[in-house]
Amino acid sequence: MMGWIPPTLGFVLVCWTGSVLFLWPAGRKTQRSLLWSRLSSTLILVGLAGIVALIAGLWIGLDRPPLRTLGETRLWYAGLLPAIGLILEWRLHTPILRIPMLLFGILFVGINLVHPEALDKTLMPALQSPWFVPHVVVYMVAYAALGLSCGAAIWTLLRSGLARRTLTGEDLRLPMLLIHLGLPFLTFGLVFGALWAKEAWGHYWTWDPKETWAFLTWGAYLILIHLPHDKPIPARRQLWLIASAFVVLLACWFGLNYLPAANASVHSYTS
Amino acid sequence: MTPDPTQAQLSTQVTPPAPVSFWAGEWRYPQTLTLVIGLVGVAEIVQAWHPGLAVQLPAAPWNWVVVFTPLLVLIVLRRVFGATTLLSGLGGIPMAVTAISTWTLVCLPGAIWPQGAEAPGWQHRLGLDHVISSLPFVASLGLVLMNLALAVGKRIYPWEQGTFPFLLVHAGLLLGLGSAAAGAGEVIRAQCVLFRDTDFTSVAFQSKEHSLELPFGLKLLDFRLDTFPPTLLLVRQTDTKTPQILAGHKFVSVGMEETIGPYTFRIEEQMPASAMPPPMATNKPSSSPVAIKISVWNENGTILKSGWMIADHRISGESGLPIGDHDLVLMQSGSPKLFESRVQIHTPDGKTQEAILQVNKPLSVSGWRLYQTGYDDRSGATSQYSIIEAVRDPSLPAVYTGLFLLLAGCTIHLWNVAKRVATVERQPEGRAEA
Repeated sequence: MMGWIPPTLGFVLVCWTGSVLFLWPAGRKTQRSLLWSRLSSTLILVGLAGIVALIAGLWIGLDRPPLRTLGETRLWYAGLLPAIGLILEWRLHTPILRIPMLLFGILFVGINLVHPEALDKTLMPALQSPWFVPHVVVYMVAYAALGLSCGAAIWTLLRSGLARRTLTGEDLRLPMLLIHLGLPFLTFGLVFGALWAKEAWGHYWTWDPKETWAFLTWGAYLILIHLPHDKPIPARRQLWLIASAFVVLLACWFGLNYLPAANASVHSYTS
Repeated sequence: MTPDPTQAQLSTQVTPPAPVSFWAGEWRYPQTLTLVIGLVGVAEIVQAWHPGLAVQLPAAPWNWVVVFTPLLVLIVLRRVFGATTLLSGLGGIPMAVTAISTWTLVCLPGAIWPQGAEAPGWQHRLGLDHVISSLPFVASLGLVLMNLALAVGKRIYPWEQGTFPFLLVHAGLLLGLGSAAAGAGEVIRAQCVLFRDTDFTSVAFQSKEHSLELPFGLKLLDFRLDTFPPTLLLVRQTDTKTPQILAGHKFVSVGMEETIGPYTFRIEEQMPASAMPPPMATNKPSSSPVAIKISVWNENGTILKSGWMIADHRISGESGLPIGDHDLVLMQSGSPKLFESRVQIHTPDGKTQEAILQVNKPLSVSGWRLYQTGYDDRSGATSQYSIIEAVRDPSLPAVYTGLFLLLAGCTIHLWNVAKRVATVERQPEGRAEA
């Protein structure tokens, strides 16, 4: 079963890398630009289909939701990024998300390819709960939306810097829309986790290091969502804040494993 | 008489305004930062002066009075007195941002370093080795709650568009956080160790020093542990490098074939409970381990080894099958799949009931909730005791009400975002406007 994981990941990597490369001729505004653009979109969808097939295959092969290990959550993330990005790109007709979602997706698929995990069918009793799938999936949706907000912010900063263009409130719309999408999901994930913890351990919040980082992440985006309701701050500063908040999210997701508090957490990913 | 030109000039000059107090004008970040940092700074100074200081609320019902009376007063004040400088400042966005930022910063040490006895020395000296009961934490949480109360008071009447989801989120958070804070001191958690073949016990331990009497008796009738089947491990030991461990993913079963590294393994026979005792060096006492007869092939299809091996915790040569000079295949014991206790509960009304306690399936008894939390993991299925945690949390209904209000508000917010995206109009040149 596990033998087909690296080729599938490799296939997805090739599709998405190709999608990035096709953006160059697509952006040259020639007669074939539309064709290249559609090829780029098609490759994203094909790669996404590969991720979906991989997740489905793992779910069947492992007899459990593939959400237990860090690598398994990275797969979901790699799939949700283009899914959310494509929906918003199609609806809002904005090209800003294409590069960030592909680069993030390639990065996370690449990490899984370079650092494969030993997957097994075991699922500890505490994870055998109806809350397991909703809690983690909702968090992955939130992480994907907030990751795209960071990507959109950084991409906008880069392009405005290269074009020497002044940033305006218009440049904040998409990153803030993604935060307005991601923060409620983050809240759902936080509350689902609390409700699950109460059923499993008897305490809905124990300030476990993982829980504390989850709270810090939530707090960071809560601050960002309040800022625009006050007097406007410069768009550039706000975009940098949006990008910086994602660092807190990454610390919650991966970074905790490298901190002294990691040993005190019951939320360590099992691999 | 000719008018004095100097006097004429003076009479037309604009009188400079009287200097406005720092606090008298609209509160912006300088004011909120000064207040919050000042307050939390003083709290930290006091905490560092008395490192062991832990904030404790009075016993029920005064804990609820202490927490919610000021909040209700703030809501009423905001409604009655309207947007005064002080109330607007304390309830405004700059205060919200400052208070949330400070609260998260206060929590940061607990996110990076362990708390309690394992905290670094500087945290002990600053009194931050128990952050959540420290003065700075309480001060910053208090500021957040105050800000929430004033925000609720501002929008509670008259209702405008967007008031309903706003109130759901902010009032829900106020109720949830406030109830969690007020009720923290009322939560009782105690562990009860139930031994096989012993009579009812109602003694539970909150700590090594503190025990309490539960209002019911518990008796362990049976303990059951199901484990996942074992899996295979390949350990490669070279001279100086750390052993490389490659794990399989398949559960050991007769007829199973699995490739790990350069080898293919096939399970020829299996004994679910071998009569072979585990090696003395292991920490597994009397349980009979799974034994398998395994054959190993290399990449060329040449059979390298065939023999019996047993499951063992430790990576050692005693229970594994050596292959060549450097490689060893081991069978890793199956991890717990399910553990449960069949218990008898004797309640104060004289009734006795039997029940099963499993992880994620707690029992409610006389206002307490019982959780299956542990057992003797060295003995495994033959564990002579089961660890049950009894929890009493009177504030839970209020906390849950707050959380569900918050989720309802988030749901409406998501719906509004989706509507915004769905109703976007496209510009002729292809740029969309939402």
